[in-house]
Amino acid sequence: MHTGPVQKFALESLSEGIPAIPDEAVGFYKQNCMVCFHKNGHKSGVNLTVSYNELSPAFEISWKGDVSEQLLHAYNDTRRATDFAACAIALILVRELTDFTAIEPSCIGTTIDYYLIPQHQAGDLIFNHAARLEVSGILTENEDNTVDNRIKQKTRRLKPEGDLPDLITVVEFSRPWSKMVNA
Amino acid sequence: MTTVRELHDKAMTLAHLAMVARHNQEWDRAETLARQAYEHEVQAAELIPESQMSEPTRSILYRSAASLAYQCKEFAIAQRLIAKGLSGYPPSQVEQELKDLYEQINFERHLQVRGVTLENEDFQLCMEGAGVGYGIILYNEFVKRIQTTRTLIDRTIQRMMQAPYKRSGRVAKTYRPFVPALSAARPSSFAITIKLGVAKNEQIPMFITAAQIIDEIITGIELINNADQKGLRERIQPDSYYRNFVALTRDMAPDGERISLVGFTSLRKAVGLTKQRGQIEISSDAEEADAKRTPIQVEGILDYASGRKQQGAIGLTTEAGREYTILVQEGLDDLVVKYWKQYVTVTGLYDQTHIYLTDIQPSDE
Repeated sequence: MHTGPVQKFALESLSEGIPAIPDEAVGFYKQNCMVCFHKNGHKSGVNLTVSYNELSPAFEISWKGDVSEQLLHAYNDTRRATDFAACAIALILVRELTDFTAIEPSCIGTTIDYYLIPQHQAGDLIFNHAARLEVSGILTENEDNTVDNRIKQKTRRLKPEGDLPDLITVVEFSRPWSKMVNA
Repeated sequence: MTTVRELHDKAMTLAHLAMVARHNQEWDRAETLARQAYEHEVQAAELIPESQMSEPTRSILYRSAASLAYQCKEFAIAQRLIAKGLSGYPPSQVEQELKDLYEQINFERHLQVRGVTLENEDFQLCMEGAGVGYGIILYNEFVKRIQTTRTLIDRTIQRMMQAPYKRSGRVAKTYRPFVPALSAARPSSFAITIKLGVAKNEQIPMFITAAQIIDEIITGIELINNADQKGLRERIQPDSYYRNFVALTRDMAPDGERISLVGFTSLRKAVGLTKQRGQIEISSDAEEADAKRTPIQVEGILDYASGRKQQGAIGLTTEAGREYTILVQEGLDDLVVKYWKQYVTVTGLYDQTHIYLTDIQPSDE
């Protein structure tokens, strides 16, 4: 159960402190989130609860604008929309709950979705103290597709290597809630 | 002087813009942006000296640059960048990422045409997988796909010439303006060229070109591979032709073992069909019509229905001698013709009287 104050977050400020989301791409990520929340009947101001390291903070996610038919049509590939929306929410959680922030999305053919760096890192060797983040999204949880099962699958797949710490985040859009674990 | 961080951030901004452009189906813009992104990322990577102290930053930047080069189809450059990344001291997980990306690029290169020049009226059909060796392929895997390709060409011509869908019988000559011809096979992945020529002494058709037919087929297969049912629906509106296109594409699709990729390349575009047949669904009217019908899968010989009274009904006799009557929706007829009198596995919905067909495949698969 959530305890403590609810942190407020506007999707329009997604890029603040998250180099992996440039200003130009904020609209894209925001609209993916809007569509996923809308498909579950949620409106701007929806509360998202989080489970991370025995903490259960809550975030109020808000946005400007309505979900139109045109927007739903533009993001009609639900699987992709859920993936991108989950990435946006996960990157906010990483920024707010850890000392890291995402710097770069991963390439094709790897299991890592983002590299994370310390929030105030300077210098040219930008990945030398990096962590890795794997993100997954579920539009609507059901018996066969739960957040906990998804975390288990990813933990099995993401074998820790070297000194790089790994984080796994799964975001669910119907309750909505998210679970973040250290792999 | 521009720093690594500035160059990398700029590259990531451009890469994101490319991603948004792809979402908006602005393909040329996406490629231009990805190209600019990879150029910035290469500059960032080249600023990092090749030493153990530089890792994993150096190898991650080369991996990222290679990934961006791959996105704008600069396969040779992408592979060189991967080699540079591997030439340093990459940690094991980045090394694996670089190798995975190399494999991915190799896969795409199978779709490229080598050793021949395609003309407007040509397309390359290539196959890759455990059933394919250097210039050799399992007989059944090849024959099955080349036959289905021929049917797909015929049906696409008929649709584009607005002929009504014909379940059986001879198709009028007007709707057979092209004569497909095959080239000799090429090694590496097994590849042949199919030419849609016009027979000697025959008139060149006025309202349709071979290039249009080829583009239509490749675009349709690409939509199926991307699971874009809506896009395919918009393109192929008559139900029978839609169902037929999906059924034939599924019949050609990889099994994931003997064949892992079926590639189609024309002068203008290329698609690698990697979706396996089990992942390609044909929407069934029967399913929508009656929820009481239950899924069924039976094996047997495809033959005549003993009490056949309606068009589109065929029979299946199991090894134990049990007979089923199978109702075939318009569009699935070509599968029936192809597997007629063969031992097959039929999948469908069963109402205790009829099986409403959704798929047929040879039982040895």
